[in-house]
Amino acid sequence: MGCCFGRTGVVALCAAGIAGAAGLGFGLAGRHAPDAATVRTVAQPEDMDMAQMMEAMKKLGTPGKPHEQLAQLAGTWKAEAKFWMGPEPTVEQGRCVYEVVLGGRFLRSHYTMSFMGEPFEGIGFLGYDNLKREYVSVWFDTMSTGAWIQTGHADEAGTTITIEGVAESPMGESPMRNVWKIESKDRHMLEFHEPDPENPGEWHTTGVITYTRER
Amino acid sequence: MAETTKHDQCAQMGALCEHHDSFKPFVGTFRAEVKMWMGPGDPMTSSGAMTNTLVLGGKFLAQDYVGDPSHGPFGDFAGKGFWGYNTVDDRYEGVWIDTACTFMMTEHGQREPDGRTWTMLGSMTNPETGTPMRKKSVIRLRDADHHSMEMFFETPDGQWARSMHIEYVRKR
Repeated sequence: MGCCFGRTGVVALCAAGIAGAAGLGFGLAGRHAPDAATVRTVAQPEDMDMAQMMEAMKKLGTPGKPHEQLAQLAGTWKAEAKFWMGPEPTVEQGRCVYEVVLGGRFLRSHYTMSFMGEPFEGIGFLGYDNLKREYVSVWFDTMSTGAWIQTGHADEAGTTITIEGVAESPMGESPMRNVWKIESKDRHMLEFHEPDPENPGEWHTTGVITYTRER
Repeated sequence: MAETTKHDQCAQMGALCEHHDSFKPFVGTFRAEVKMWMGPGDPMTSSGAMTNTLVLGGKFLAQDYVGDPSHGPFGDFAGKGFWGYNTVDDRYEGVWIDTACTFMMTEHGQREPDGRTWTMLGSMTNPETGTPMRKKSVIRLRDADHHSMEMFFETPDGQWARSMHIEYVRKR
């Protein structure tokens, strides 16, 4: 119990809210209760080896194999987006730039295309949370004011990544599932799935974007 | 008819509202003076620069933080955030990622009636227990050139422990 909150404090500090300068493993000694009873600094461990803890935290924050695999997608891609909103799919041509950011921890995507005659733009981040051992994704675009958050897992090879979340719209909430299929270093797909209204418990595909590397 | 409604609803989902105007005073590059409480005594201090830009048609404030190598131990620190107002859920939403961790922090909250204070709540996984732990950010806009952010974590006994205070001053 002694080290319980201390370690949390370290991670908490390193996660650093909406705008933080953060660090690893500095909150490591003693307790502190300054001015107000309700405002205290993070309690500290008394019985954990400091070097051990710092090492553990550093490891937790270090990119690993999943990050390296995502980093291979960096580059500029031609994107063909096919969406089924009626009997016939709409097909749009777009472009996506993937960039590795924050020391290899996240893959940033910047997507641009014309969608039903309107310019469409989106920005996303895809990463892997070493703590929860799951992929994390957030997506923002010009069609919505919300942050779309999904989490999920990959197959053993790490080339099929399935992430799920909840889509919120004025029509209500519904589950959404995206599947990345990395075929090769020059081609991958992103599939969009939602619950099939005609087959409860089943999912159906509502769209797919096929990415072909430009450079 | 149904299609029209759906289209209108989608338009509403992407439409800006007065809350998005709130982001304007934050646009620009700010010097950040950071205090972090990590133990007894004085906080650790460091500096950095935050560049905020409006992206995706003004829907989001994209934040880009870079640590100042000349002040503090976090010279190679960098972070990125997004701050938006979700018109479906009628709330502010924030997402933050940085070089110290591999996870993503999310939070949501409201602007106070004073129009210049935001309280954002989020949670993260306690790595020791695997259970969620609440965090809180309070953003205060003083004027177009000054704002601050304070961050707190909820202790196991239900109190808010202050972990960070950042003062932002617009760079000229």
